[in-house]
Amino acid sequence: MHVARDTKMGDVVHHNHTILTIMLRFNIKLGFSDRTVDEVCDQHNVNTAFFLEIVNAFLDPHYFPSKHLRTFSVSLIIDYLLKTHYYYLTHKIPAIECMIEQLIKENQGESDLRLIRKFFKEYKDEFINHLKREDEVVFPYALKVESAAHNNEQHAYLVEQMTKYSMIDYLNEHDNIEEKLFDLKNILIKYIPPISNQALCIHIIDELFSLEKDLHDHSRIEEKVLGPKVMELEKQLLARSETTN
Amino acid sequence: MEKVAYAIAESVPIIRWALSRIVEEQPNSTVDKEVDSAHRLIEHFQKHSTEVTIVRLNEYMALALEAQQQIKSHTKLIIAITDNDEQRNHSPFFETVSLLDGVMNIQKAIRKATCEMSKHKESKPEGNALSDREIEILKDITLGLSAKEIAAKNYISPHTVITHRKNITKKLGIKTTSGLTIYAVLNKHIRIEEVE
Repeated sequence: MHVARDTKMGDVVHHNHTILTIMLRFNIKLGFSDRTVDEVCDQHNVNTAFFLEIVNAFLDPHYFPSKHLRTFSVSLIIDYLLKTHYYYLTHKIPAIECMIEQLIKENQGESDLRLIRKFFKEYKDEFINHLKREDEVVFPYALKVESAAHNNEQHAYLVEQMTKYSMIDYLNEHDNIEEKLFDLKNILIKYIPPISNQALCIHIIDELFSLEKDLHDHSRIEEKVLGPKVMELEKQLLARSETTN
Repeated sequence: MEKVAYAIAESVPIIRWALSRIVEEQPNSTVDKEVDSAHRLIEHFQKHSTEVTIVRLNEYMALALEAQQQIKSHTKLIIAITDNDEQRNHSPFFETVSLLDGVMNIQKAIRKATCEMSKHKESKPEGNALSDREIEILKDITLGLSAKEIAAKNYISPHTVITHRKNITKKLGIKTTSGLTIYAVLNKHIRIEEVE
């Protein structure tokens, strides 16, 4: 399904209800009535064109209009990325954590399962550090670059900063935080002792798969849209600074 | 679970047939090869191995030491069959049973051998099982040793340690050290106290 401006929002959800997690990030509330995507986006002050690209990329793994996505402003892209970080920290991670706690509580005889909690805690810490670095260093830097480029300002300090840390460094250091997630999935699928509450295990695995997919989409926006877009702006700033000098 | 495989070397056809029937009737046991003499058994072992071998004691003892050695190196357990009551508990046999004892004792010996072999089978997961050497390396990895330390401990090169680690990861589908630790504990290769 390719979602367009005049597609009914309710039909999008009926087609794939997991899209609701994307709507949550845009702060779009349920109760769409028969309104179209455009009407719902308007009602919630959401950029419809941007929403459509994100939703279509989410629904179709082969659809990724990176060039088109780069036409949107850095601030709009970062706003979405920040909302996604918030969604992971307030919904996804606590939900998985809570289920792992329940798994341990229900299987106190299986003391080795404690290691799964420890493993997830390590993952969570790494994950939070990763998000924190982006929120506190990378995104503010990208916003400064955009502001300088658009306002035609001379930012000698920014140009100087670029020689020490620029978007290419971010892309190089953008480490893979999906490895532990992959391992955890495999441990639960292949090696966990036969515990009685299989439904709980399946629920955890389901959440892990969904987080993994979401993170994959998220990294794709960071690496293929935000990164190249900011690098383009950096080039403009450098060129301008060379002309002035 | 995979059945424990038996080779039977017995020259008297009716006894060979009876032994084969008894093996097949026991749980988790199957006959992989029947031959009519200990010499034929050696020929078979030139290309194959079998977990348990049933052989006549006097035929085995009549073999040259080298031939006995060859049987021992291609089978994990040997059940010796005698036709009198005197020759009992000869090393290197796992069990020695007399044809005079009747079926019950032979059945018991076979069940005991199958049980012994199953213990070893259960200690490894089915499918992409790790080799003994890989399990050793896995334990060292989970205890936090570096590739260099593992290499020195196991008398191998650090390059070989890295190859082992890659193979372990490929077989288990687990990439991180913490993930490998959980695997090692859940599979009883190490105790949780050693890594907590």
